[in-house]
Amino acid sequence: MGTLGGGKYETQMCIAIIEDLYGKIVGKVAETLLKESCQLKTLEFKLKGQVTPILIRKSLTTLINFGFVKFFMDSNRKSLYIVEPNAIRHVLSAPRACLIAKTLYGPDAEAICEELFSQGKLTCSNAIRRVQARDEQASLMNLKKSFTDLANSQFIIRNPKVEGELHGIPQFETVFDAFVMPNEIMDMSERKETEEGGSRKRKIGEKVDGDVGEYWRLNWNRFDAYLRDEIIVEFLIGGTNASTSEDKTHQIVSQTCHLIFKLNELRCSSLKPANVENFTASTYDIVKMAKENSIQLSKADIDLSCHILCDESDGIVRRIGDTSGGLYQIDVKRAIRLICRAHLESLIREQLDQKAIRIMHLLEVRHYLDEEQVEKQSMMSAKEAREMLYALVEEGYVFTKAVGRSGDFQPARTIYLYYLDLKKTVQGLVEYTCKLIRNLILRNSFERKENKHLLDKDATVGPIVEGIKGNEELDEESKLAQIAEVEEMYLPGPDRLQLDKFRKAQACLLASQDRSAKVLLAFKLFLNQ
Amino acid sequence: MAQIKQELINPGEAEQQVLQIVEAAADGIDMDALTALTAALQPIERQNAINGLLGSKKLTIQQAPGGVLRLKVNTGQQIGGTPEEQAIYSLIEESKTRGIWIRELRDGTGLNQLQLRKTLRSLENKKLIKTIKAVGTTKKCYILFGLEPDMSLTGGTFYSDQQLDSELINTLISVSGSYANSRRKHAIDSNPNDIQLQREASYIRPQEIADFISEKRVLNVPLSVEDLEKILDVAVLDGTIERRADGKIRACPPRVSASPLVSVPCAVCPVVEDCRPGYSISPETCQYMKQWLDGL
Repeated sequence: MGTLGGGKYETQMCIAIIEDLYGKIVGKVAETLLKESCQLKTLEFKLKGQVTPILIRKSLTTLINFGFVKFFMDSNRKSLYIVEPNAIRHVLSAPRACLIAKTLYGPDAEAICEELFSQGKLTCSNAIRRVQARDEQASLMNLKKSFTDLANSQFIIRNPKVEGELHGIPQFETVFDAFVMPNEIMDMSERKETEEGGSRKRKIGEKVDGDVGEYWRLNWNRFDAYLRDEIIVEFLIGGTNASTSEDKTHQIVSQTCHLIFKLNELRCSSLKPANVENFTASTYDIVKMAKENSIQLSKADIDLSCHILCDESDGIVRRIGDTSGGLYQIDVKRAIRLICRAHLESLIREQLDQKAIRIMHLLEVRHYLDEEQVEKQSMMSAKEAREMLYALVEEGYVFTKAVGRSGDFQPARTIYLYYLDLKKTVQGLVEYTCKLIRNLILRNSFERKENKHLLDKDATVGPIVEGIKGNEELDEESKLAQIAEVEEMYLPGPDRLQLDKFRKAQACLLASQDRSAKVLLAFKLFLNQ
Repeated sequence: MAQIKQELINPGEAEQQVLQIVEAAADGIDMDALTALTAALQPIERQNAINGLLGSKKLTIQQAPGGVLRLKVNTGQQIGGTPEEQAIYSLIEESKTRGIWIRELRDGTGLNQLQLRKTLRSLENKKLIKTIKAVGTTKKCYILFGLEPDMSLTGGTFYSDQQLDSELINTLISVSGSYANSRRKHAIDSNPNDIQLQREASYIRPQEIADFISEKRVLNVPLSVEDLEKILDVAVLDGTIERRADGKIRACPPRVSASPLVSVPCAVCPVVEDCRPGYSISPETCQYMKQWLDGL
């Protein structure tokens, strides 16, 4: 995905995310770099009097560690720092990414993803060590297996090793397998004398892991691709929901749908950003896939599901041949387009009226129409149609094209044709969504600040209650009485209510943020196709 | 000097001959062509014959484009009024159901405004013509009293008093939609085990909806299938029904899922443009957000 085209609110959203994670100073540095990529000296000059050079350096390290800032050697042989807004956007999907890891590979995988996300990047040994520190029950075997699972399914990726430096700028290895597990982990062997790591500070003879310097991070391209498939499947299944009211059929269709997208998953490289290329799947492949994943689906079921999908998906799934039991094409481009359109329509329905959607559909079918044609073909009164068109133009959902009867484009001799341009509209919607997410983040951090004293109190109560529960000298009844007493002392009724309310509000804000991030991904995919 | 014996032709015969020739020409005939066809007649005889026919209103003279005068059989109805009345009446009659505008009448007859008004009023009083207001314009049009105005003037079934009857259209759209929907439900319920049959049975012909509408007397006037097709087109645009290639229609499954974008108050916030962090309208202090979060 290109980094081009970050608008005003996209930038503001990125800053809000950074500030939310690392505070105002790092936010300020990111903001300055977002406005214009520059060298360290320039950055220090720009932030003179606001941030001390030492803090700028620290902030930059943080940003680079988390992959939000990249550096390149410019023509002056100095490193140029560039912000990656898309990398910052991925922070929004982080909880979702951990959930995906959990659903696919269990709680250990989730813990590994959480550690990788919260630390930016970690060596395999350190990641496992950190998880073990959190949860003593996690066995090394299981953790290692989860790590291998994640690496094999390409949900995590290894960063290139530092090979040396040129003009003071680290150079990375270019040819390496990004998904292969290190052979020796957590062995803490004696550092070999021959190994020239480049870290002079480290004492010779210090014990290090076998995989030192091999840092792993979450592979966002892979998560994007997974989320893309999830969005499309959701759209497809949601669409056929009502017609196949029967639960069994619905289930079969949904399973088939998942299998089709899983097929594609295996074929795509996740080194590249998530794409919107069409792909094909044959019945034979799906049957094989079902067997491999031990899903109970007969060939007849799959045939039926594919048939239903073809009929009900509005052209997303198409039968294109009879090879190996029936060849189906999944039009990902169309799917993303329809999803964006559905979001747009939902928005218009809230902001304007159902009739505005009628006009949108009309313009979609007929392309360029003047006011009178819209009025006639949508069967609305002249006044209604005009008002609706003007509102649509104002919101940026419909555009006008002036066709002059004479060269001077004199208004009386000019016809204004209305037309749709979904790409242009979605560009506006990206900004809108970014603003919305920014607002959610700001509101969330504000609520957190407002209720800080309650959270602190709750944090104090927790250990006390635990202590009482663990006290073996007391019987159950007096335990409960004591717990109630402590709770009442620290967090009286109204405070407790307020805390519950805050927790609910926070959950709601985060849920909205997660859903909006998915929409944003759909919009971005549409714009990048 | 030898005298050429002139054949005497009586005026009646000449008139007959001229009339036959003019009748044969559908678009009328100009003077040169008529002269060539009636070479046997003396100029004076031809002239008399034509004048006689014009006088008895069997023929008329019309100006064709390019200024050529043409003789034509007078097909217009004779109203027995003044010549002005007759001229105006003929023009209106010619315009058929499309009606004719007052300026076109003035250009066509060459009468002045005052005469024209007077004549039109007298014709209206005699209940020979009537005025019609066209849809979407303020133009007044004249048509013959006994005619129904054209669709382009009235706008069709969905217009009353020159205004689009939005109420009626909305009713028809929702009636069609709910009928298709009930048929779809019925199709699914009656074929619980066969999806193919469910789908096939939920498609209905537009005529079925038309029958339903006339049976339930939703409309006072009969609804033609063409008019219903128009309504269905709009319903397709609305996304309530879908049309198959063979013209059959069925109800679309309702899309219940609203976009996450609209679940946040910012979607319909009237002051979203002025919202900035740290200002008096800001996401931190937003009242809409407060209401939203309080309502959980």
